[in-house]
Amino acid sequence: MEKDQRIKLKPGYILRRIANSDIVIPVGNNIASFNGLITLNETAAFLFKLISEGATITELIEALTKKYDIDPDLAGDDVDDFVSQLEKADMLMICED
Amino acid sequence: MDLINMTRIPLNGTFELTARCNLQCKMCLIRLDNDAKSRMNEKSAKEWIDMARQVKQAGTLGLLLTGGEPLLRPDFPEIYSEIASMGFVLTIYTNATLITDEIYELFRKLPPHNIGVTVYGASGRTYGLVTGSSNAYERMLEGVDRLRRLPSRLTVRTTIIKDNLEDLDKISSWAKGLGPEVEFNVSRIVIMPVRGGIADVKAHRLSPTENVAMLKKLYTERIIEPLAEFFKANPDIGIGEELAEIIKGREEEHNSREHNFECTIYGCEAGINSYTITWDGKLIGCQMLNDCCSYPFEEGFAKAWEEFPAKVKLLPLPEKCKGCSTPCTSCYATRLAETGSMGGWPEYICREAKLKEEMEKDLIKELHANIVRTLYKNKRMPDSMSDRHKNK
Repeated sequence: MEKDQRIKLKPGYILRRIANSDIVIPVGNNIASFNGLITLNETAAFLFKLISEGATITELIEALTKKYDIDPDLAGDDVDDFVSQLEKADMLMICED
Repeated sequence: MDLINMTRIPLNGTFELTARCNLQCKMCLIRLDNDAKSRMNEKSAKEWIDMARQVKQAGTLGLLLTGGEPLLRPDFPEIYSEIASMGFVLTIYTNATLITDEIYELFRKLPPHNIGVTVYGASGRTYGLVTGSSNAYERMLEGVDRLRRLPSRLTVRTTIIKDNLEDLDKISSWAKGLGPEVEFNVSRIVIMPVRGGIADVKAHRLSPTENVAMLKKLYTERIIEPLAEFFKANPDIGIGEELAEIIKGREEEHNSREHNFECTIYGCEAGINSYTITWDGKLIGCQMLNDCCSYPFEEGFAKAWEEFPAKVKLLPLPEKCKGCSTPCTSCYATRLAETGSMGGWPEYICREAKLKEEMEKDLIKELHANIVRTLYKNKRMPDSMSDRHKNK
């Protein structure tokens, strides 16, 4: 995936905060590929919210670096790791605009 | 420690959309007459949708839509289409006889995570005897055929009474034939109706002896026989040591549990992490409880949930149950259903539990003998078992 390509979550993945946990619930026909729950840690939930609204990899790395005051290379690894997991689970789409 | 065990959160909810049903099952806990009075007191689609928003806000993750038969409501599509996209892990309980084109299309667009289908027999004749409708059998088959095409997890559930006992094997084979991904459950025991349910359960449920005989058959088929087959097929396996490790692990797990603090009202999750909202709008601990309630449609769910525990007035354990170590299905809810009081002694449950305990002891002896025989034959007897065997 290109770093400046705008990505977004496919519809039907709902992030909810329940019992101090961030949980993603697939609804609708998303359950055909994954009928379960995904629990996110704090960083993943932060990235998930940004991707829900649409973001580029570069923007995600910048946001993570700023939020947690960490090295951009470390933030880059975390973002790549998380985005590739979402990609594997077929949860992402490329924004047209 | 698990946070959920420490916090009172309405994690799992049941919306009982109606107490009416298109079938008239002889063992139904809930069913009321399908008349104008029952219909009039039901909450509207708009009210249920608003309630779903409230329970979501309060932290409900798992939501069960049930009845009665929930699909009997003409406004079910309106309720479902709103609730299904809110972000619950959604389960529907249905008898699958009302899977019309409209309902199928609704589920196809927004499939629930889980569907539990209750099945009452393996022929039109048995359906006629149990549900009062012989053609419901064909409609159920057609309904299940449609539901199978959805990506939802499908569970076939059955309740056995005198009229369908002979069909159990056929129901089980049919359910297995649906594929390994379909779960099949048989109700453990049939309890008396609650909240004015009109079915004459007492006249139709199995006697304690019949119920335990049915369980013995199920346990033998599902546990004993597969294990015996496993030993035959794996003559070199040192199952004795593995079994000893498993038992040791279970004991350690059990002992560690005793040190955990668990907060309960009724001895289970009811009122702590789970709740039911009845067809006429009451918040109760579970579908079988009716000892007290609060009113979520009047005062809002958050307030009704908050004040619920203060309304509960538990009664002490019946004298006959004190000091008894037999595992049984008696709880506040089943005692209330069986005797009309949470402190009553449920004779039916007690008799069944004593018989079941004896049956299980016999089965374990049989299983142990089977293991010893196989290991002895295979010359793989572990010392611990060998000693036990010699002492007998």
